[in-house]
Amino acid sequence: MTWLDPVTGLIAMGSILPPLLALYILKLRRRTRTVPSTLLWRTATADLRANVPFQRLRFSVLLLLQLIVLALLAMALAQPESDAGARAGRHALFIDRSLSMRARDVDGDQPSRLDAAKQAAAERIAALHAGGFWLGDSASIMVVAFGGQPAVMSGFTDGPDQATRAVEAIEPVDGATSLSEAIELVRGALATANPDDAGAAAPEEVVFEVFSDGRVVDLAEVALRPEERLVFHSVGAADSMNRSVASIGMVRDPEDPALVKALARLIHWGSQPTEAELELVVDGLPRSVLPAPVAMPAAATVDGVLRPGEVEVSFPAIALPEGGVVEARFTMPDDLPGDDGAALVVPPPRDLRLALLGADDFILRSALESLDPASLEEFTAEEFSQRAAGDPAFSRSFDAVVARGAFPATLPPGRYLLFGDPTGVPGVETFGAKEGSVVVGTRGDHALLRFVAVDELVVHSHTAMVVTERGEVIIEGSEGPLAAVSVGASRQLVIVPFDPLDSNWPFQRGFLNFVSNAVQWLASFSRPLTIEPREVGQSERVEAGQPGVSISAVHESGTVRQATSGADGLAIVGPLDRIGLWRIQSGGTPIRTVAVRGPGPDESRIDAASALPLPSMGATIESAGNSTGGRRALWPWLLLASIAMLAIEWWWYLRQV
Amino acid sequence: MMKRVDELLDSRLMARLDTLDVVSRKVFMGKVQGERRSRRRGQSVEFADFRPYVPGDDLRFVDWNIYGRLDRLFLKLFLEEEDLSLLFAIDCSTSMDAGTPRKFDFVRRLAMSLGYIGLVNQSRVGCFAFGGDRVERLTGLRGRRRVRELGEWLLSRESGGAFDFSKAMRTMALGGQGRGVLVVLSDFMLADGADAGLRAIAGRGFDVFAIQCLAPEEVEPASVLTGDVRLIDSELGTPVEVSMTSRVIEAYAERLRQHTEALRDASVRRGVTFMQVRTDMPMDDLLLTYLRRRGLLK
Repeated sequence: MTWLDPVTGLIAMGSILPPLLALYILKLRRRTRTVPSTLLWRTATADLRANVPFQRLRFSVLLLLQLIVLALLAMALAQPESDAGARAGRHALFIDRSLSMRARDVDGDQPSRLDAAKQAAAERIAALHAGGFWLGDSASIMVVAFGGQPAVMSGFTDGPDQATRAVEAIEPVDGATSLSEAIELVRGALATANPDDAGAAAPEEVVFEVFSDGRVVDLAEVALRPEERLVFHSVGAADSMNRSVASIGMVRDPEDPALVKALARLIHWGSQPTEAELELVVDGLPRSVLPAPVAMPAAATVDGVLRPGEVEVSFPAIALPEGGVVEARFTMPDDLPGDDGAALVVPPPRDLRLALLGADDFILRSALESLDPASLEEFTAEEFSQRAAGDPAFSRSFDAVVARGAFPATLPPGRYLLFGDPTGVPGVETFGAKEGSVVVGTRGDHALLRFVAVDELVVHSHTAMVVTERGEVIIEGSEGPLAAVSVGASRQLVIVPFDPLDSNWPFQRGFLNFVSNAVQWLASFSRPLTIEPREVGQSERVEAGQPGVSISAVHESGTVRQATSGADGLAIVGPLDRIGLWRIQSGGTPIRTVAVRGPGPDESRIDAASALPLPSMGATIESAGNSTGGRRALWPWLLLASIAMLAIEWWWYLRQV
Repeated sequence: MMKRVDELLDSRLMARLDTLDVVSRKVFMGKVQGERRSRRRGQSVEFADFRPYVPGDDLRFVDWNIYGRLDRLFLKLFLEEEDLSLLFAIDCSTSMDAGTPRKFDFVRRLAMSLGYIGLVNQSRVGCFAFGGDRVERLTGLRGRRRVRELGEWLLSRESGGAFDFSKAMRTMALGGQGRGVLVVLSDFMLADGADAGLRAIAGRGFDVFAIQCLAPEEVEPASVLTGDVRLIDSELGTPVEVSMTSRVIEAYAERLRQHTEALRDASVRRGVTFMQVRTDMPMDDLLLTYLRRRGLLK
């Protein structure tokens, strides 16, 4: 507790107390009346006093009550205020800036939980630096924003203005709430703040004050050291309801690539089922609305863990011949509008461009021509290598390169369907030839095996291999893998370690389906149906073509991230820490649009927690409650108490007379 | 301030008092023949008893008829008729100079009225005034023609000083005024109580009537005393500071009741008749009704 104006209280006490005591010492001025005898009066009255101007100060309940009233009033004039917790020492303020802190369920004039948390933190800083008459020590405060990547907004400082400015500078991000990394940041700062004390027997105590809604995903990883104490300041309402569009996906019509169908997964964290209307927006314009509200089930506890209600919906197919930005979003916002929509960037459809390595390969040419590609170019392995060496983009200009037997010596970056001995292929190790292999197992759900039956496949001879780079066997033979995929950073491979002519596969219908699936699967890496949304907090790699080019990423909310391309012509712009669409542009010229998705369904849960459970410590940190405001004025209570005491004194006085 | 005798006793009341007489519960031996029976055998016409003749008796009282029948000498005894001694002890202290009506005026009017009754009935009337250290007396009054003298003496008395009741009663007991009815008129605000004074007068053959005269404001002080007041004792001059609250008024009333009860108990123990009267009580009612009912007058 501190006193804002103790001098006034002391002056009031000092100036009123002597007159009050004097009133009890000095006798009253009375009217003089002569009576026949005072014999009876002397014994009948209780307030008779000796005939002297002063009397000994006697104990009186009234005097006691008046002294109490006087003390209460003097204390009220001194304006005491209660503090939230200890004052001096080191305090690290953790302000949650995650997605859930954008919820608009706080009282007062604060637009969001983050703003309320910032205000509470600012008040706490003021309280820690309140000074006061009795407590002059101020705290050393560090400000850390967590949520997504934690950031030190201000190191340990004794200046309240600096700490307050650091709090005010915190901007919302849409990442997940992770506290453990933020604590590690503070510990690092403590260790480097005074290296001489690193080996001290008793580390300095530090108070972690967390301003959050309590929905922290990594609480299990938080363990406090003996010198650390955690204070939780809960922000937000416990009964807030939120639903979100967790993800969106697209399916292209195989008959008409211009037609796409959007799929969306919705989640609901409320305790009661609800309904929501969903619309599909293309390039900012509503394009489709679901004919009826979507019934969303309530959240339920499964195995002791609360799980959100989930539902998947699909929109009617729409034509996107030119591509576009597709977003599924609720028509009515809830307490957390930030996750009410999910977007995807859909590029325009593109025809297949294929290359076939090896001349007069009738079987593969026939198979590829059946796919009706826009182009099918044939090269020898040497020609392909030479062209690729001359033009780095040459090999990647094909949606798929199909080869049988003869592979380029150094496989340029690109997408390949390889039949034959894969010796020398990057990411593949071979172990000699095998004979007489039959299929013993498949990854039946893999896209390459759609409508492909390999039960009757018999391979006369093949090469034993192991895919070492992000590989996966999709057909397992009795003597080793018969088909595998490898998805590397620069190469995507489908490897069949035998010549089809050494098996009975070309005579089976599944062979054509396999080739078709493999080509389509490889092509999806070059011309995906959608551009995969970025994880929130990631940075975007932009090929500017030349150094010194300014690249900016502009979020739909106005947030801007800028970068300049380096010597290699690449620019890394970011972090893209807001959900939604980012326009990547160079000097005002749009380059592309990038969609950023949310951190996951857990961050959409916004019912504020009243306590922080720390499983690793077996403890629960209760919220500091109203004391988040730092100081609370006590003078109204003192004034109320003094009035009550006056009433008691009056009652006592009437009881006496 | 009364200046005339008729202010003490007006003619209308005087006429009504002619029918009254002072009653004594005891039979006294007076100094001269009066109109009351005496325990002393005397020469009145009322026969009392016989006793054998002894030499030296007055032969005029020998009953010769009995001598004729019994041949023995008996002496006839007759009741002696004596006068009644009616004494007043009047408190003339400063405390009696208070009240509305003034207590001192009231006791003088009462003494005048009772004295008139005594004089009319051939009683021997005497007055003693006590105030401070002084004792003033007027004795030996008898007969209607002394009424004016009594009135003028009462008018000339002044209040002042304290009233030492014990000393006053000792003075009365040793004053040689003979036996009779003693009426003490005072407010009896006695710090030491009345017991010592009553003990001094008891056994001296007086038929004592103690009449406590209180002013209305002494019985009901709330009518004149309000707020925070400083009360000064009129006799002693000692101050007492009092806040006139209902609780204090109640306490005073209770204390007055206790004081009166103590006086009454002390009086009963000494065979004294105690009465309390208010000074605003009409004299007619007091004399014709109240005192008759209490046995002082008939």
